[in-house]
Amino acid sequence: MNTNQWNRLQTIDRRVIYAILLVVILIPLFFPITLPTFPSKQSRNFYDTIEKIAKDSPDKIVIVDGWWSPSTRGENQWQAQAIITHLMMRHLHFAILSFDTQNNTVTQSQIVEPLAKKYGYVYGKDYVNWGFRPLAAFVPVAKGLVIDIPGTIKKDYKGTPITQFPVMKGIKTRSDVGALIEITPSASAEGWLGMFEKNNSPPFLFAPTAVMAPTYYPYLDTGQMAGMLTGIKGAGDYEGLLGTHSFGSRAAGALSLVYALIIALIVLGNIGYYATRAASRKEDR
Amino acid sequence: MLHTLQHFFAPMPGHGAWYFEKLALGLLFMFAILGALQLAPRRARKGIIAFFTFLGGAYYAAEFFWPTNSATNQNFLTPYQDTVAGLASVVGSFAIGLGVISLLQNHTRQLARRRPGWGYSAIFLVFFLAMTVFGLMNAYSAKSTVIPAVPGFWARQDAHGLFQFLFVGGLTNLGSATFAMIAFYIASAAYRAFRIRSLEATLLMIAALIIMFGSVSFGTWLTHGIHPVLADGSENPWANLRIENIAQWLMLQVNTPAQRGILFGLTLGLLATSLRYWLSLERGAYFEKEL
Repeated sequence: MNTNQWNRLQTIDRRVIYAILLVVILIPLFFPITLPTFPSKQSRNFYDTIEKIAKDSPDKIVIVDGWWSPSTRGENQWQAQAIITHLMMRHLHFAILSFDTQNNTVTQSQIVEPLAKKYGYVYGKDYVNWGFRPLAAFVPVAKGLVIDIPGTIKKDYKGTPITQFPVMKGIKTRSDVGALIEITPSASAEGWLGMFEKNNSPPFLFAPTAVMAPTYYPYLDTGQMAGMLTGIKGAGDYEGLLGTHSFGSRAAGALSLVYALIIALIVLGNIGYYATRAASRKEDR
Repeated sequence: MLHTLQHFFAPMPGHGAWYFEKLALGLLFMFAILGALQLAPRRARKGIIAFFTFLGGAYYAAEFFWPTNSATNQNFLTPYQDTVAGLASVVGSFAIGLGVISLLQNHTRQLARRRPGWGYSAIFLVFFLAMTVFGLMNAYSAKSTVIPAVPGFWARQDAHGLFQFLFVGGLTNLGSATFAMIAFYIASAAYRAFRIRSLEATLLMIAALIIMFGSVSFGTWLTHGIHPVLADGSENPWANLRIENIAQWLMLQVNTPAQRGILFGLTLGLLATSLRYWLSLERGAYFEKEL
């Protein structure tokens, strides 16, 4: 082969790449690939923490804090779905809290309500929606949750005082919280860790998008984070641990093929690069 | 004074006439302040802004560092957190108003002058109006009929249904689609950019390939034959060579120290920048230069 022919390997038209990628994403979504799943250590720790709360302190409330909007629902929605499914399977009480304007509506209507029907969860008795808080109020809200939960939250997303709900009975401070779970596409864990990092604090569980995950390994290493679900792979891991094979598992299959395609393209590009150089030297001689 | 402010910013039980009176009063008050600031000499204006910036920051700093009562875990400043957060939200929300005015001005001009891309401006204006109208109707009159039923063609549509159509059917899906497109650019960029041209690039690529393989089922399946436990029940040392374990080692032993270093640097930078903002020492655009 001459230089031009080798060069084609490293100059594949981007539209061809897009088309192949589209096919590679779509096939496993419609025809799921059944590859064995090996949950990461941090996904397993996440799961084990919830199991431990269900066993040791089932009366405590779990806070599910969402910072994500539909832009990142490809990852965050399935993490949220798997986590809330687990809470409902173990019949743990939980509260939804959002720091994104769209998050509260999406979490309530698209995740919690359909799952509540399936698991017989009753609003106010088994779970509560604390509503949306603007980002400017994050520090006072986070601080307030440490010392006075009813005084900080006051009302649910429909304006009903939260003290009227049976699920909030006996929930006063962070010592009454079983775990704090944050599902997010942004760098927001430090705020919670700063407020909840004390001896009597509940475990902090984190579910970021895959691109944000590497930043948070220091907190996993120190034990400040009890577990972490990394993007859609984390959601797939969790579904595997729960035994509920939903979209997260199918998407994890699609992700496998996409990564394989990207690796193949990188290898192809490098073969093209070196072969072009070698052919060019040969032709020069 | 603070109790009056707290009462003023307290959530309203319902949106009655008093709510709208408060709203109008609040807007009037804010526009009076903005007008006064605009009329004030430049030096005085900067001084007033710097004073209130310092005051806002001082509250949070003092509240955080002031010793608390061990029984209540509060100090004398803690009860005013809601009020200060409310004030911060009010000031922040003016930025939304500014953004809306700027967007409307820009797109109306595009449309009026038929500049290239004016069609996008028309779409923006139509949907901006629709979301505003149906969003407000959804909050105040969700059941009111917007499109009456036409037997054999469509059912009655109320304000809530149309808002849901725009929000869930439109906005959420558009948001996801826009974000999902990044995957296509990443695939194309990885193919073009990852060339083994130096030792550093080679190390980076090897690490990237291991992390990628270690993050997906396909990769972990490649080394799943190495069993973590030997036949006698002891740990298999060769299991360290499973791709997910190598990936985990890279993330914890190589990535973590680097991230820790970055975090230290970032935090120190953040502290320095926060101090500059708080003490109004920041210079340049938005601070000393008029844009």
